[in-house]
Amino acid sequence: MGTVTASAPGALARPARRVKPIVTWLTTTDHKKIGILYLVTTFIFFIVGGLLAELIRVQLAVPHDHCTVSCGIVSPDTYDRLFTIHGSIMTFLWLIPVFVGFANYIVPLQIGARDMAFPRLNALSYWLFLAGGILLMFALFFGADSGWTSYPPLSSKAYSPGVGEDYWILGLHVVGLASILGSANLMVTIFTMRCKGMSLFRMPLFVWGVLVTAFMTLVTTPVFAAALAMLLMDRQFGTHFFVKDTGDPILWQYLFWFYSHPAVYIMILPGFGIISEVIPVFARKPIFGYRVVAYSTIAIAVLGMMVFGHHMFATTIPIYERGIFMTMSMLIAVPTGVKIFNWTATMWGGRIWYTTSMLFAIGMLCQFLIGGITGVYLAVLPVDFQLTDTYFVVAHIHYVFFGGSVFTIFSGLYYWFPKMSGRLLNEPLGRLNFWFMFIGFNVTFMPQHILGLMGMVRRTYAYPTSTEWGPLNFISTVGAVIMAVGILFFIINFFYSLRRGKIAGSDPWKANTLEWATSSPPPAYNFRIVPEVRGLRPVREARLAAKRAREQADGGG
Amino acid sequence: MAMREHGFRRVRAAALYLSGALSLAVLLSGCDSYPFSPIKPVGSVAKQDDNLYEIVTVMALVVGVLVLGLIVFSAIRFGRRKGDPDEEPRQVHGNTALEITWTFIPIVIVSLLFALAVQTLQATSVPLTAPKGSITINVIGHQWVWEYQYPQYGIDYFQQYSAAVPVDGMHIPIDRQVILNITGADVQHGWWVPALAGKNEAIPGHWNHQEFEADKLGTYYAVCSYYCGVDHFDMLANVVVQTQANFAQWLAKNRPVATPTPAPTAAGAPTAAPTGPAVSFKADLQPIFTAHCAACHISTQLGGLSLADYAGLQKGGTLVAGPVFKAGNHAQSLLWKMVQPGGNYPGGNRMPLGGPYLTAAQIQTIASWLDQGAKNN
Repeated sequence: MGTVTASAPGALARPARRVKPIVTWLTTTDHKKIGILYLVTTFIFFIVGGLLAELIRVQLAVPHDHCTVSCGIVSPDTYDRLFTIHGSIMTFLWLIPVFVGFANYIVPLQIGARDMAFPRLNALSYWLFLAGGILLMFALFFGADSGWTSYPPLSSKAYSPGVGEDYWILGLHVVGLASILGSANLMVTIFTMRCKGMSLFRMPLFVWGVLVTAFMTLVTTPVFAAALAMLLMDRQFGTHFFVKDTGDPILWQYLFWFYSHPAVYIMILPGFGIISEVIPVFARKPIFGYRVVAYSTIAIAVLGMMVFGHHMFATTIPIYERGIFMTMSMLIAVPTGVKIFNWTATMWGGRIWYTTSMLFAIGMLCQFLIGGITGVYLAVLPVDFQLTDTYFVVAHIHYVFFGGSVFTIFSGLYYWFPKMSGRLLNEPLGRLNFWFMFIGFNVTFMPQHILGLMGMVRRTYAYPTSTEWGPLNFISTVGAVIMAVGILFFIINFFYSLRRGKIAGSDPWKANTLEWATSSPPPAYNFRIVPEVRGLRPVREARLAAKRAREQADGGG
Repeated sequence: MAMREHGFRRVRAAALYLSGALSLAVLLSGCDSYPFSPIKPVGSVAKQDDNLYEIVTVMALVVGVLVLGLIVFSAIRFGRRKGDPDEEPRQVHGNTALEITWTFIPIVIVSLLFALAVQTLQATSVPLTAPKGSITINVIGHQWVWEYQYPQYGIDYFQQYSAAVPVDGMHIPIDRQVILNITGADVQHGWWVPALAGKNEAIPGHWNHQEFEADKLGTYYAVCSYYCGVDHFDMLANVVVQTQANFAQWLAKNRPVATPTPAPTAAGAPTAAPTGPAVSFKADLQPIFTAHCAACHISTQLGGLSLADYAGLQKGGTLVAGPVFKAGNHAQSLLWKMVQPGGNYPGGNRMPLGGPYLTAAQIQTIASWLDQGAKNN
């Protein structure tokens, strides 16, 4: 892939200089290369986080009686690190930045721009992200073990004396900075670099998703950064922000969730955007109710910043405050439901081409629906009192993040891999990948709903036989192994198709949006002539116009 | 087109039957026997929460099965078959009426849920003052054991274990209101007895409250629901629901010999912060009572409340039983709440009824006395 830019034809190509590929990648400011760097890096973090999760599942596979000190495959303090770092990696080093990777690669192409607004800032964001990610890995080895939520006083110096917690704080600080810079860059790019004719309401829905996400990131991440700074000062300089009596431990929860609940939407809205691209292309129909889908994205973002209190329903926050957060949490089901209906209506009456990308999109619809419905359970206060902090919540967030976000990511990978590499991912391997992941996912997480109802609380290291949680936990662990096999199929597919995949051509899916108007992979400058758009589906319009011209020529000849 | 309509109707019918069967299955499984399950409640609060849970589940299954059916149906029915022409299907861009419909229906559903949730919340809310005959227990989470304090009886002890199994925990009598004041001594914990009530997180520096009544004898499992460090998984506990007689016996056996100090019985945290010059009950408060309250609360004792002496204040009235004061905290004392001008009077209207009301200085005197420990001095 690295060789394409050097030899690309056209007036904008610079005279080829002989540089080693490694240097090209280290010094690049090309949004496509940075996008690929993000995608590859985050996928590696995903594998690491996934392996930690597999260890958690093995530990929980069978019950242990009379477990006072240590039992199973890992010690309790190792186990605590596993789930702390699993949660932190999957949130901060995979789901949030992987969409930044997609956005980096796709957004400038979809809006007909030649690069991001600030290419060097873009490179800085990536390298900061990598540095922060590595710092966070130190937290794994030095033992951060107060959960990815890191509530004080447990995360304070007195109860977490090790340096692991400090690495966790500093790592997230740097990752957060990368996230803020990246979002500012994306927002400026989308507002100022759209090609001629592309009004806001002619933007592809993926761009809408990225724009709204960038806005949420800019509003909420600084608050999280402040909270992290306060926690670090409490730990290192003896301040009292989160100390009981002289400060307040609940303050952390407000600040943390003010970021980390919107982060849920930061982790799914770009995914919604991917689904809104993939379904119309493969159903061969325009998206049903384009404006409604765009507006519902905005509605989710606005409501999404006002629901964070539902993480604190069981704390001592005032009842009226809980009532407000309950109302908002229930209301957010409405725009989300609207999206699901619109996607279904897009498929209705279509002629669906079952590519692997489309299978992942359909799988996501089913699983996200379930995640959405269990979310309503958790919004209903009296029900939440019973369900919160149990495996029901674990199942719920995985239906949203894995069944939802991760499936959209795989849908996007199958959809855009041809654009990035010039070759199609192998379809039979893709099908194996999908079915193993789909079945493995549901076998893993469906039983966890019931485990939660049976009283199994989160972050439990071991449980006795008398709880009767054994069989379902064993099924769940089997599912986790099936899922891992599915992901292994993707890795095989990736390396196989990179060398031997079918040549894609510029538009293998007969798609709609501008990234398919240029070659695969695109040249460094993206478009020879900056395009001009007149509608929502410029590439389809061009394709139809070409077809008409051909027919006319045939008819005339 | 007719084929499609017919197919859709069939799917819809199947979905309805399926959702009906599923809801029935869930309702029946309510009689299942899981040791921790909230689906087997014996406490008043757990029962209310569980009823709502059942309703939400039925609604969720109906909506879920219908929409899931719709997604799967349209994904399969509209697939490209072999031999289909490589042409685009009819290009439909949207339908305003449909969009409005499927925005409106979820709004109706969540509004209904909201109303039900508020109803349950009102039914299970913790009263401002401990009702007559209720028992108050302070539950304090430590790394990694629970402490139980019975301020009314001067009892204070820790959860007992034998080989990691909880053997003797909190004792409560059957059919009697229990009020729990919950906090964490070191880090955040979570108090959860699934069979009796939902979770209350135990947060250092804060008091969380729970109120319920158990209506079945037995020993119920409790777990720490919030991750509190390396032994979190091992922080198990149990609650023993006893007959009134057995509970009285247990109290007698465990009660310390010395008489307990008057302790907070109302829901709230025991805090003390003496302010201002020393105020005496006999010299400062009783003259106010005689001048402004005597007509109803000394000569006739309306509402069962006598302000004639300190014992009367401790006894409280019939409407709100128990002491009308909370030592060290005027803001949580009924005596102060009823006379201050802020509104929200637990007993009905501001006292003295119909006015003239107490002066600001008199109200301050009462507040100071309460904050100084509400002593019989």
